[in-house]
Amino acid sequence: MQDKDAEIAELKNRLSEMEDALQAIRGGEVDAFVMDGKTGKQVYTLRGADESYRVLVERMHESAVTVSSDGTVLYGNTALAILLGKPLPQIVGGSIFDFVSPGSHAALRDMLQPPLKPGRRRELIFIGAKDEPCPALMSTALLPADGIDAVTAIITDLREQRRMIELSAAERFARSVLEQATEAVIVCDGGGYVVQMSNAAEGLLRDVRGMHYSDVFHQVVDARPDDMAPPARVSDVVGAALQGKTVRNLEVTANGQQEEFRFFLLSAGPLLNSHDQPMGCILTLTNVSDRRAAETRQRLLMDELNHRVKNTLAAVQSIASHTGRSAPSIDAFRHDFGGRLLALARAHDLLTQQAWHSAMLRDVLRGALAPFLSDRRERIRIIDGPRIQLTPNAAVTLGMGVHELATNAAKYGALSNTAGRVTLGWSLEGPAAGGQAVEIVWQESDGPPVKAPQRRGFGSRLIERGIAGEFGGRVEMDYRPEGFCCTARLPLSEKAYL
Amino acid sequence: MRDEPYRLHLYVAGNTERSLRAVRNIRRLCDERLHGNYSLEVFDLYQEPQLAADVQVLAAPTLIKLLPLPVRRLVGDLANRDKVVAALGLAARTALS
Repeated sequence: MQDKDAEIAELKNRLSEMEDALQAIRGGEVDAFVMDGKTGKQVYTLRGADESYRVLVERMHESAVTVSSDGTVLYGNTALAILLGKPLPQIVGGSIFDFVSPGSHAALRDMLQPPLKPGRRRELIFIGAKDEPCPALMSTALLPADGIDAVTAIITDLREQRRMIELSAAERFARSVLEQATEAVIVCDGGGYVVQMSNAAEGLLRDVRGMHYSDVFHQVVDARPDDMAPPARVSDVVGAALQGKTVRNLEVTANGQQEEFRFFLLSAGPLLNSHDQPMGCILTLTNVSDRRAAETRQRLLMDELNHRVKNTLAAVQSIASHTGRSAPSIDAFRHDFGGRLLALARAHDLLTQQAWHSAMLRDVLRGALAPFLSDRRERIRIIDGPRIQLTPNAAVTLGMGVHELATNAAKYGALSNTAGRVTLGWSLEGPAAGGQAVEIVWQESDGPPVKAPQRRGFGSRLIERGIAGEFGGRVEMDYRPEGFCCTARLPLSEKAYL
Repeated sequence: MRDEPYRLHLYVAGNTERSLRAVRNIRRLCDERLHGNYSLEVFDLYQEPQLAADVQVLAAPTLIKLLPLPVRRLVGDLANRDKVVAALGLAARTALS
């Protein structure tokens, strides 16, 4: 009985020791096990030299799988679970063929063909999460310890690589579209920096890649948005596009290719990524500098036209008033007034041809004489002199004056009989170094006896005072017996110039 | 009458030699003797160390038969087929069928 009690006590002690030992192991108080090996006891450390390799395999991005020749998955790392979209307990112990597309089974069988060996590579389609096909490169890397008919393989997910290839192709496509686009297109990233621009845009502006849009465009000149609130600044427009909105046709200014100030219609829209999220914006530009210049010019012309109409009406009123004062009868008034209006109109015609910049002296003189040339062509001789340009007012005044000279000649002078003649010519007089004047000479001959007029009419006043006053020159009218002669000496100035 | 399905959990330590053997051996045995009437889940204690404490696993590999009852544990690489068959109660099942 005592023996049995002692045996029970001994067994209790041993059980207690074992429980303590187990507790120590469970509590992490040991770092190695001593076990029976082929050559005696072997020490197995819990954190051995292969720990770092094991961690490396566990954490690497590529999938690692140990698979037996019959296709049983004996081991898989975390990346494999991610690739296949399943927890590892559902993968390990199963058949790798269940996770590979049937189209790749033959290639997989080929890889697992005994004898297994490292260095085999095949591209296979795995079945990923939600049955998504995952192209991957599987390559056998190493064989486990002797006696296990299995091989460890590395599986490289090719989806990212494929995406990069597709992205790269898409980017090449987009770039070629941009380069060939006839529209001026600018692409900004999410921060508003220019990342790409079409050739047309580069032609309009310059290479502004890398610049912030606010350094490219200055201000909104004219806000004409489609939506209700008109944005006041370029930043509002581009900001709206970066947030996914589209804004069309805002007039902005920017420095042009040659640093000149130019006007553009700017439209902005979001650049969306594959999830339809804005990742930047696309700006399109239309150069409206020419239109803008035309509008400015048109406004100037309208002002000028208004001014001229007023001047012309004042001139007509003055002609009517003076003609009325000297006309002996209604018929005479009608004749004289009509002739003078015609002379005014001819001068205007000449000026209109030159867009009211200037008229040639030669054309002004010939225009004023045109009504008299029709039946007296051989009796009126015009001797061309140097090219002289006249300002609009100077041209009108001179044209009207010559008209009065010709009218007087037709009424009283050399053109009033059948034998008289008129010679009109001009030349430059005086030193070239300054003080040069154009001298215009109207010389009548073979007319009826010359008589100085009893009183000065509108025509005489226009010639003597009007022309002299307009040009700041001198006009002499000489009623010499052999023929009337009028000499106008007009200094070269901004009104009459070479 | 169809036999009650087996539910097996195998706890392994990464791709160590015994763990690989254990997976291969139990898979073969199941295929041969249970003909698909089982579920096998393999847990890697390296990846989920807290499992060892949860299920009181002392060493890897350890196979736990959860169903049919009683629960049985078997430590080792499961290379001794007779021992595994006996522990899983497959000998009696085969005899009955």
